[in-house]
Amino acid sequence: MAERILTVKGLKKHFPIRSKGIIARTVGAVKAVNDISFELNTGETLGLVGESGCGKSTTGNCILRLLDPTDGEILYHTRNGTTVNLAAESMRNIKPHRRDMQMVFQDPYSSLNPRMNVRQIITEPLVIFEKPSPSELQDRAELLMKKVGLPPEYLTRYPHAFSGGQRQRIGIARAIALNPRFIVCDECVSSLDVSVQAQVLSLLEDLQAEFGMSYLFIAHDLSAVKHISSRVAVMYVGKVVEIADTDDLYEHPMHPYTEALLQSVPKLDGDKHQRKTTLEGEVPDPSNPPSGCFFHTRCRYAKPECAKCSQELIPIDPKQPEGHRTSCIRYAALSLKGVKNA
Amino acid sequence: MQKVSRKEQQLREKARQQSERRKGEETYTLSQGKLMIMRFRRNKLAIFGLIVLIMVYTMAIFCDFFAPYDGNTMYAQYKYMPPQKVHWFDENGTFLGPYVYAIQVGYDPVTFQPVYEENREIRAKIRFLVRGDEHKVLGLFSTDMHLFGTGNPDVPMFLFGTDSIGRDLLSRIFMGTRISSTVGLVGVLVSFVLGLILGGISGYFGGVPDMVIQRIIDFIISLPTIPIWMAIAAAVPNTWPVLRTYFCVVLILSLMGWTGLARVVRSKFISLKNEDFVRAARVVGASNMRIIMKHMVPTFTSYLIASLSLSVPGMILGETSLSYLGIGLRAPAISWGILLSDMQNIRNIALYPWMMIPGIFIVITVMSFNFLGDGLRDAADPYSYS
Repeated sequence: MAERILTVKGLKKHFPIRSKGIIARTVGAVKAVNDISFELNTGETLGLVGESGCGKSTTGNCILRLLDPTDGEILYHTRNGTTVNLAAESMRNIKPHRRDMQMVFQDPYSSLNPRMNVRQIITEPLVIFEKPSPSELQDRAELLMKKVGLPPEYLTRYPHAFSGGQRQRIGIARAIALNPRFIVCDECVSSLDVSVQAQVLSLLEDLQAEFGMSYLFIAHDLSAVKHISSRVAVMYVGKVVEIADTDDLYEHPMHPYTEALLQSVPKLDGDKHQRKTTLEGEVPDPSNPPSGCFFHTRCRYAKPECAKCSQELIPIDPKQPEGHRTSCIRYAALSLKGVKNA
Repeated sequence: MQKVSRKEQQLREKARQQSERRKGEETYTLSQGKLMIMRFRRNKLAIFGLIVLIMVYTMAIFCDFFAPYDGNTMYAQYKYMPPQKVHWFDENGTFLGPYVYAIQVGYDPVTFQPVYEENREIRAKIRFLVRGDEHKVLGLFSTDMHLFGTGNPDVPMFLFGTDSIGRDLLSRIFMGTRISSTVGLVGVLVSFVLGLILGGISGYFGGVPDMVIQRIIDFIISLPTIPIWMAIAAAVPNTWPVLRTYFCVVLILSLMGWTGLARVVRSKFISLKNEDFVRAARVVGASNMRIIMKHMVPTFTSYLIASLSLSVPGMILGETSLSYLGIGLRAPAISWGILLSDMQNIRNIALYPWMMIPGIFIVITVMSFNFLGDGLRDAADPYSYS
């Protein structure tokens, strides 16, 4: 049993909708993240997938406190065994833990300061936390460059001189500078072209093998997620609808939404004549979600009781409360199609 | 034989490539600052502006030395004398160097206007380093040395003519440089600090402070400028010494002038706040101060530099207009605006056109600032040039 590093319990992030005018009243809330729970173990990669706007990135931002959660707990289990609730601590108290958690951003073009050279960018965490001597800083910077597969001579260059893949490597170098314990990868390969994606993914894997970090891998590309993740959580309109080990989830999805997502992946060798079961309808408005299961408005298997049910995650095997879980109340009655080779 | 030479050639080629690569790398590792200077020096107009401004500010520091006379010395017999001619050759065409003739004052019997005629009998050479009115250099030590002049109190020279009570206009323009050029710098400094801090707070923190600061700006912008100036100027006691009035004028100008900068700084902060690289800095644990100074401000330094050098002329013109309207500085202070305030009616403009010369100085100074500002902005912004 791997060591637990992060436990998210009942996390909520609501963005208030204010009325226009001088005296702004709150007239509603976009429930971007609506009561989600999951856990992250050391050395594992948890994939977080879902459609655009389902709250994946918001979840990542809340964990790193780039956004203040509305409610819930983000329990971080520190190296020396204590537990810190990142959702409730002040920024000042969180700062010492920042070196243990880092982020790789989606857009490698905007996430590097164009006015700083590569050395300044990747050593900034070191400067803030360790204040090493200039010569040590140079050594560490060169080491980091080697780790991410860039020539150390490039340290004096500015970001505009690099390609997207190289920039993302720089972003990764910045993230691993302090040997963090977990990294939130927020769609970090989605803006790269496919061949570069593969390079960056294998770089992430190599680094994980070397340093034993955990990743929270946020993505919408199911094949990338399958490639890198050990477990996957599927989100829909601010809720986690299913969470399981990667292979289990891909081969035996237990939620109709997971099935629909898996079916939507285009395949080269697929049978052209086989009718695809694509999703119809729109994603519900997160400020005004439907009753019961949020997915029942688009679900092929929906029954009247789906409009009233709760969305608790139910373990498939009651003996393994942290194994395969789904929020679908009718999963036992359905035989959902998985994919073998996504 | 051939083989050796080919090998030699190869070696030479390799060495050449290497040195080229090294050369390339040298240019490559130039710091941002050096790159800026390189780009700036390519801009001829900006260099011109810089040189003119260096001259103007040297003049401001040593104006009593450069001016042939003290700006307040009166030569009562020479009122409204037109600019005097500098001669180089005598009547026979012999080169004598620059000299002026003594002036004979007569009266037009019809208009009773004084008529100035050159007295060809008496000439006075214009020489360097002559003794004249006493003055203090940098306020430290007294001297009566002036850069140039006739050195002869009986044969004065008025290269730009004189004003209504017979004071040398050239000297007055030189003396006016001091106030007119520094009012801009001091004023801009005050409004720059105000604009940056208040705009920064407004944009970075948002919420209530933002609301309060924006309403203050709205209020200041909605004030009708000239009546307010007049009101404040009226409140400044007549009995105040020149220096205090001067600072009062600067303060008025800069308290009105920070709003534009504050608005721009605010909008820059708002748009940068959610930029990915700023969020990245927050993730690596950078403090607010570090984020602002290292990540946010550098991205618009070029704008700040340009706005700084472009707002100095605004201040200079502000002082000029205030003094022109008679509500800024008052005599015996000398500034370009005060000099121009003599030119408030058509009679003076028609009869004594040389009194407009201070205007030329204002235009040249203001334009130089604009050239310099444009050059600095283009040099500081690596994305601007294609």
